[in-house]
Order: sequence, then C-alpha cells, then structure tokens
Amino acid sequence: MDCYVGIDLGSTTTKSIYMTPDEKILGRGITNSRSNYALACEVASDEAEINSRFNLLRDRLTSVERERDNAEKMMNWLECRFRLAQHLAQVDALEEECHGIVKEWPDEAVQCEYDAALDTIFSAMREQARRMFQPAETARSDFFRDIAASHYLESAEAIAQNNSLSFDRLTGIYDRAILAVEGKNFSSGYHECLEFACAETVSRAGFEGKRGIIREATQYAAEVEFNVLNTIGTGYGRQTLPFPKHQIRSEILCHGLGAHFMFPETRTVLDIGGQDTKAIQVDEQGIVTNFQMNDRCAAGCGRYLGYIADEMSMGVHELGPLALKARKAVRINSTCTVFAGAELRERLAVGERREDILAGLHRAMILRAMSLLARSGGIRDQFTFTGGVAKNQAATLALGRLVNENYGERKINISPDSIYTGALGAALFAKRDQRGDLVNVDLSKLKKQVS
Amino acid sequence: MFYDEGAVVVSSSYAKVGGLYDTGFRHDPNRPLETLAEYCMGCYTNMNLPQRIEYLERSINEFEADGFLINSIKSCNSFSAGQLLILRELESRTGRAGGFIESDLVDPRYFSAANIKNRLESYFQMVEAKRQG
Repeated sequence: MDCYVGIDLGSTTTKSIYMTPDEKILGRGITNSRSNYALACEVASDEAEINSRFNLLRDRLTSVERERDNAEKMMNWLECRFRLAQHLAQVDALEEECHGIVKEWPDEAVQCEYDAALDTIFSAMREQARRMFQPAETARSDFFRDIAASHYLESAEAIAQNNSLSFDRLTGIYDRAILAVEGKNFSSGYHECLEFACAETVSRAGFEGKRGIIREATQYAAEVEFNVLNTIGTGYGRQTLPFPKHQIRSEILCHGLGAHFMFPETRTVLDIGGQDTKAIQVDEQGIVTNFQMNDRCAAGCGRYLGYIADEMSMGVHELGPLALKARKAVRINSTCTVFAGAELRERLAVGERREDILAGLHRAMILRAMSLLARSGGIRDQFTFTGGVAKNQAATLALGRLVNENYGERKINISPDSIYTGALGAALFAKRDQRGDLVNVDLSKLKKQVS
Repeated sequence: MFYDEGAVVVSSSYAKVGGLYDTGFRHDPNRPLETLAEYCMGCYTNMNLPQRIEYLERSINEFEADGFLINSIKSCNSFSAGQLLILRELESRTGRAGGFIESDLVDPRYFSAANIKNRLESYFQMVEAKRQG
C-alpha cells in the first residue's frame, strides 16, 4: 500500500502520520520525545504504522461482522490487549534493569531485601496494567514512562513503609532504569503483540464463535506492506535528523497546511506547543502568508503548564478540569515559568483558591498568545487552535472569551487530533514534493547516523 | 543562514542611518552647517513612519526583492519603533512577504541562534511557497 509519512519532532512529544496518495489519513502515532529525537522519530513512525494496521483491521472486521456493535467491541479488546502486550514487554525490561542496578550493590543482604521488594512491586505493576488496559478504562497518559512511574511509586511507597526500606533508594532505582528502557523501541514487535491480543480476545466470553473472523481480519491487516513514497520531517528537533534539506519543513508551514487540511476555511492558526507559541496567517490554499512566534523566552507555552502542575503536585492533564471549577480568575502578572511559580505560592499564601489561581494562569497564558496573534495580523475567520495545549479546556475557554472580547464573533476550530497538525502538514508536503530520498527509510538506521 | 537558504540581501535600511546619499543628497562645502542639519534631518532614523514606509517601498520595488525582513533590535528604540506597523503597510502595498526576527546588537541575552534560524527557515520557505503559488 503506497503511503506518505509526516513526522513532527516536538520538544515534548513526537508525532507521525501515515497518509494515502489520495490524502486519507491511514494512521497516527505519538510518543514522548525523551532526549533521543532519532529514537522518538522511529517509535512515532512505528506507532503510526501500528495505528494504520488497526484502522485497516477495523474496516475489515466491520465489513465481515454483521453486528456493528460486536465488531466495535472486538476492536476495543484487540487494541487494549495489544497495548497491554506492549506495556508488559516494557515492564519486563524495566524489571530486568532494576534488578541489574541492585546487583551492582556491595552488600548481598541489602540486595536480597531490595530484590524481594522489586519482585512485589513488579507483580503489582503487572496486575495494575491488566486492569488498566481494558476498554472502559481511560489512562491519564499514553506514555509508558508516566504510567510506569505512577504504578511503581505507588507500590514502592507502601513497601518502603511496611518493610523499613528506603523509598528514596527505590525511587533512585526506577529513575536510572527508566532511562535505559526509554532508550529502546518497544513499538516494533507488532506481530508478537498482535498474537497476544488475539489470544486474549478470542478467549473472552462472547467472542468464542468469532475466532475465525478475528484471525482472518488480523492476518489481513498484518500482511499489508506499506510502501513509503516520501517522508518529510518537521518540528523543534528536525535539525537533528539526517534528512536531506528538501525533506525538512518548518513547523510553521506544516501547522498552516495541516490546519487548512482539517478545516479548509481556516485563515488564522494558533499553535501552542511545549516550547513555543506560533500565530500563523494562511491563505485559501493553506500557504502561510505571515507568522509570529515567541522570542527565545518560552513563557506561556506548554512547558509552563507542566511546571505549574509540578508546583501543585498534579498531573498536567488535571490542570484544565480544576481551573474550570473556578469562581473567578485571579490576576496573574507573569507567564514567566520562574516568576509564575513564585507568584503561585504567593497567591496560595494569601488564601486564594487553587481553582481561581489556575483560571488566572490559563488566562495569562492566552493573553500572551493574543499579543502574538495581534502582531501576526489579528484573528480572521475561521480561527483554528492546534498543539498540545488545545486539549486543555480551561485554555480553550479563556481563548474563546478573549477572542470574542477583542475581535467579536469568530468560528474557533479545535480538532481532537490537533496535536497531530504539524505531522499532518508534513505528510501533505511529502505528497506534494515527491523528490524524496527517504523512500522506504529504515528509521532504525538513523540512530547510528545521528550519533 | 542566508547563504544556506540561497538568499541574497539586495538592499538594507540599516546602512541609511548614516544618511540617504542614494537619493541624491550631498554636503555643500559652501553651506556646511546647513547641509549638516539637512543630512541629520534626512537620515533614516529621523524620518517619520510614512516617510520610512515610502522609502522602503521604493527600495523593495527598485531592487525587485522577493520579500523584506525586519530585525527588531531590543535596545534600539529609534530604529525599532513602529516596525510591525511598517511591516503590515509594506505587505499590503507591495504584496511581498514580510519576515520578523528579534535580537540585539550588543546584548547576547536577547539572541537565540536556534530561534532565529527557525524563523528565517520558516520565512524563506514561506517566500518559496508563495512564489510557487
């Protein structure tokens, strides 16, 4: 199957899109960027391929299974158990690394104590994972690092208390081990994980008679070969990839084109990513006519929210929902990541509610974006908001209010897949410019070239 | 960064801080103080915004530039004031793409090579995309 690939190497996450020659999205992949862009690129691309296969599998199952609801249920179980297989493979690797670290210690008695503790922790982690990767469950994060840290630390805290072990020492083992695990790609074992997912799904009550259908559909999706016609890289880390110059595009152009593809009437785009904010004006073809982005200071970008979440001991996904419970927006003067931390503590000290402070923080962040939008030429109809921060409901609420106050009524578009906008634009550029030298690129080889 | 992108600067307003000799101005040895005053009044940073816009528009058209780039200098108010307004007006008058970067002449804290590179690359790609239509 011919396809084009777009890869967006963001500072926080790396995204990939597989697209057909008639511009249909085959699949999407995302991973955390870690400190290795080449690996992140490889993982995101593999994840997009996996997602493409799952979409083909869904189409196949839906076409052969007469009951649509039943096909959807099968798909949900297959996907969840596939993710479970991927997760468990990483848990195994993490456990091996942890035991390896303990083995380096000089005192054998201490080694035994901590080995036993690790056995208990990892046994609990596997149980938690089996409960978590089920259709009805929703994870706070898609990334192994976040899920594993949450599960590991929860068990480690209980074990440290009950067995007089050092919690800090257990945390230290994890911190070292996760780096090694994150340095490997666990998204390449599609066939093994699918085998596991199939076996788990066909053994479930209600699917006994569906064994043949599931086997046939999964085999079909597994055997599809993707013939990559061209690949384009974009994003914050694009310079680190050994792509030829003509296969790298600025993320500003990619976001403009991606937003145009999702919402063709788009004329102004705001993208708030991890490290930068971009205000982009596009014409009716999706070609950028003007843009403004923040200078070297990344105040008011996604990382700012991450820092605030750390300050409040919360997950970054929890900030928006909490801010929506505000009764007023406390005035926050700075979107500087450093000053905002101090201001946050000061507001808490004078008795302001966390919800109200967070509403003020989101407003301050959007105010900064409004200034960039004004500098780029204002907000024209329609207005599309992209990037990871577009998932934050408090940010979109503040944006809607400020747009209305300053520009009047504008149609604001926010796609649930807005985080993929840059990768989508890159895939479209890959299709438009077919001079690709990266045809059927083996991304695993890029790592060696980069290092 | 310009060289990497195959871009050439054909004209610059910065060189006109020292006077607009290209428009025909010359010092007159018979009227030294008067022409010195005229020189000072006529140099780029002493022009008002409409005069600057007209001068830049003429330059862009004369040199048949594909676009124009504005470098906002944080510590030079006389040069940087009104630049966004100038940018908008020039874009609408000439139809050429305007770019905007921010840095400083002397203070390295205001300079970020990666940020400038990103903006310049985006700008040149935007000019190219516009050119291809």
